Amino acid sequence: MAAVRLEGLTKLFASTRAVDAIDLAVPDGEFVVLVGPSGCGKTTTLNMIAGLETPTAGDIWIGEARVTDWEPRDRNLGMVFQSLALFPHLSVFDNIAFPLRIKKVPEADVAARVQAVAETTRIAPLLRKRPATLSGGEAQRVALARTIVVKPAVFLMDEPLSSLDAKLRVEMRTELKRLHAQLSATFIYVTHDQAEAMTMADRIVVMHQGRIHQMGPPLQIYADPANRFVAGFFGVPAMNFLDGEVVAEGSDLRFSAAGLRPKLPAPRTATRGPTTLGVRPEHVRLGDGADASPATVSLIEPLGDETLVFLDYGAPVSLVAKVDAEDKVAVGDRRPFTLRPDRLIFFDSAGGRLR
Amino acid sequence: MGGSERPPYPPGARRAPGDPGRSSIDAQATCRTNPGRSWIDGVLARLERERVFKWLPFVPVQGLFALLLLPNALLLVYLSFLSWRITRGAWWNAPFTGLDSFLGALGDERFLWAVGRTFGFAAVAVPLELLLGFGLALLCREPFRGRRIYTTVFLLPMMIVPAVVGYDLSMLLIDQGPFNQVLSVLAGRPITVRWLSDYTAAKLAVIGADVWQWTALTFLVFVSGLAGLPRDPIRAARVMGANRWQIFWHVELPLLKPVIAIAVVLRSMEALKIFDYPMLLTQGGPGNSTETIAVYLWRMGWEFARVSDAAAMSLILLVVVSVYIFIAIRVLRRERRRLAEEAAP
Amino acid sequence: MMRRRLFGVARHAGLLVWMAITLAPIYWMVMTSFKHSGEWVTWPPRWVPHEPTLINYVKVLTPGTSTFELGRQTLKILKPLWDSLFIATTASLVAVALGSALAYSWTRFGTGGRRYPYNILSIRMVPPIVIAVPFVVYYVTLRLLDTYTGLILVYLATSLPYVIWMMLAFIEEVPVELEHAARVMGASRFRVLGRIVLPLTAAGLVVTFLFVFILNWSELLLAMTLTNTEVSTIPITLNKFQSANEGRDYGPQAAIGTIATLPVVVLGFLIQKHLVRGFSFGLLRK
Repeated sequence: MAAVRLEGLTKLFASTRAVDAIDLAVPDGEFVVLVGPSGCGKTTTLNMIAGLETPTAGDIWIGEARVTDWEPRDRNLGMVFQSLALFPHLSVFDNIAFPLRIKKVPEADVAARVQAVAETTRIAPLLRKRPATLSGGEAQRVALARTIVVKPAVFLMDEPLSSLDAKLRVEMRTELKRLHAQLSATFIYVTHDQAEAMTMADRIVVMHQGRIHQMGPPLQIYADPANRFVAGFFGVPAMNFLDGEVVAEGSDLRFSAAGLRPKLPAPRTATRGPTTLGVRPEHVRLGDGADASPATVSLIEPLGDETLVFLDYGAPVSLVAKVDAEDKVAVGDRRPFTLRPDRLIFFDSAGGRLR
Repeated sequence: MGGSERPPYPPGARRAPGDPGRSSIDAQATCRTNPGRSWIDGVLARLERERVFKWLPFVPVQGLFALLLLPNALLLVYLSFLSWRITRGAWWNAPFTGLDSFLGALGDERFLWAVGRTFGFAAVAVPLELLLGFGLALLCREPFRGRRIYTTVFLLPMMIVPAVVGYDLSMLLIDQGPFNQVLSVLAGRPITVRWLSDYTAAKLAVIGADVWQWTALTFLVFVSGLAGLPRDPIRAARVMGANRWQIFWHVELPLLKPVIAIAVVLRSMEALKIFDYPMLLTQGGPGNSTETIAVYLWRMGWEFARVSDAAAMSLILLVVVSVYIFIAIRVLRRERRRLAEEAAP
Repeated sequence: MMRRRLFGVARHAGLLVWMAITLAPIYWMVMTSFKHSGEWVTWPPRWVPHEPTLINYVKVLTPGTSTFELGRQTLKILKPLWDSLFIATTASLVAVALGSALAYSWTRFGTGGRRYPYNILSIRMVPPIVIAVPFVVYYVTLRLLDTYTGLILVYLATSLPYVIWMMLAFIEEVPVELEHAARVMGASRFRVLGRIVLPLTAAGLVVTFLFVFILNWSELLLAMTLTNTEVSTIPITLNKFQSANEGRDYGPQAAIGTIATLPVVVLGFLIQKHLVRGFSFGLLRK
């Protein structure tokens, strides 16, 4: 009923392809997050769904209707903006009542519905205030309330949490997820923050340079990235990328870079020659083993529960390992390390995944 | 929020099949194909299309300019190639004389003098206004007792109708008038300058009127400019050990460039139009000693009825002024671009 | 400490001199407007009227038309006052409506191209006298000479550039996301203008209106050019009776000057803070 489908959606600004022939189907009730670095086309995509930008080519379907050239007001959407876009000249009450009044809801119902939604979002005491006097979190809730009050079928959110401080942002993530469960409407959420995408999405859509690079559930994106861009975009700290070669050594295949020669587990066929190996910091282990490589600790960054250890193994870029905070490591220590063989992934020189 | 025991949203907020609160997309779709609204809504919906909507205000504005300016520009050129006076029948019957009017204009000493005089007035009045306005603005920069009163009073002249200013000064400057009286008191001896009938003094009177009225404007522009100076660069310079003079010269003055550009462009643009003061103070006299371009052209057209000559002169003036306008617009564009670049970090 | 003191005194001295220069002419005009004819021109000049009188105001404000014959003049300004008010108000209102719509369209859609406001501005920079000559011929042909419509159209054209430039600055301050939000919530573009843009730029609209009103109220050259006997504005009236040096009616003219100045000064102070925007070409830091 309120599924959203994009078909070959394209937007040109002058001659740059802001959005490049995107196909995406969002089933009814899904929480999908469009994520990517700034300028990747995610906001433009959202604006086209909302009708605020006209696509250069392609189609947008909401439910059964092709809405490509509909005015925004006819699309029955709710949208929360990065700046929240509360109307500064209206009180909180009037802000929330705005969409109802536009739709000519009788004034008695307006009051009741505003009151109800204000209760549920816990902003009832603020109704008479002006937006300028609200705190960041309060303004956030007003913006949500204003969107919920008309019960749209699809919610569009353009980095709605970016104006909040770190702690509130984490709280609001939970809040939004709960809201999604309550409303069971379709959510399309845009962010550049991979942590937001990971924590909230049913499905993540990774965008870069106007294209979709990968779609899938968060853990799949994290564990099985489609290419080097996706691999590097998710995870803090980022995945380690080691440039080297796959060489044959007897019956074994080994990866060779600087002082490093880990054995590769599965029989690999197509890969020979220059390759980039990717391994996440949590899959680098300190300690001796059959295949251990020598390294020196050059820097440590304690995170509290865990510690990041920067290892010099002879290459220009250090390797980052995430180890338990109990493990006492000091700068200058000589610590050999191993890589979890089942978690190594490989990319060709263009950044494509080698399987 | 937390508080997971009680449901944060009422059941009404849940989506239920056939929920009347939600107009489904399908309903919207039928609404579009079968509007059932009045024809006004239909027209509005059409006008609302972006490609229509964005041109709505352009139609009347461009229409107005096309209606007023285009025929006049053509007429101006056409008239200048004729030999026509208002008193001699209809203009479309006037004889075509080619470039005669232009040659006449370039050989007309009174016209050339008027042009030179106008630029001369501007060359004296504009720098004076800029310096005075800037100096006064600097004096009023930091808060002190009475600052509000001063700034309020200083802005008064620019709010007075220029014709009234001309008239007012014509009262003050009569031979036995209050201005001479004040000068006498200050000098300690009787002073009787004939401000409105002496060749040099009359010029000073016209320049004086312009300076009196428009220093208010340069003052206002500079006060706003100084108030808008960003604080951090100035503080940074102070921390780096710059003294007041260095800060002024190397930090504040460059930052003030856009504002200075406004003042220069605006005042020199207006100074070339001087009309009201000579008309009301001296009517261009004595002799032609205060006759500016605008005054002379006006006389050509109306007192002497030599329309074609006036048109030719207007065209010559337009060419001269175009050069100036071209430069002025370039300066404004450049400064605006720079400001935009500064604003975007 | 001493130096600061000294600077303070010098500053006040400098400012007081300019204040005197500023105020003296205004004071003189207002005082003259309250003087009997015997005190208009005397030596030494009288800075305070002996017996203040309202006769000059009564004279110019009684109904009738101004005449000038045999060196004697009677000045009546009810008609010019009404003409000025009507023409300036109408032209300014329409200019603000059209100009702000255009400024909106340009800021939001870039209609007309990036250079559009500059082109408009460069037209405005041409001295009006250049166009005055053919204008008369044109207006005679169209039968617009000496009519309200004629003058209003001209003032509309000359005010538009100022309106566009002032309103650009005000409209740019309204975040476009507010409009997007309203549109997604179901408002049409016209609704967005009425419910969001208009309230948020209301102050700007008032300021812009007053600004161009002052310009139109004060204009002399085009008014003189394009009117004759039917239509007459305040500046024209002042000028008409200035040309005759004999028997000048200083008192009544001073009264006219005061009447013409008063509303503008009041309006001017209302918008004092924003006044500079009118000619800042968007070049002012906030």
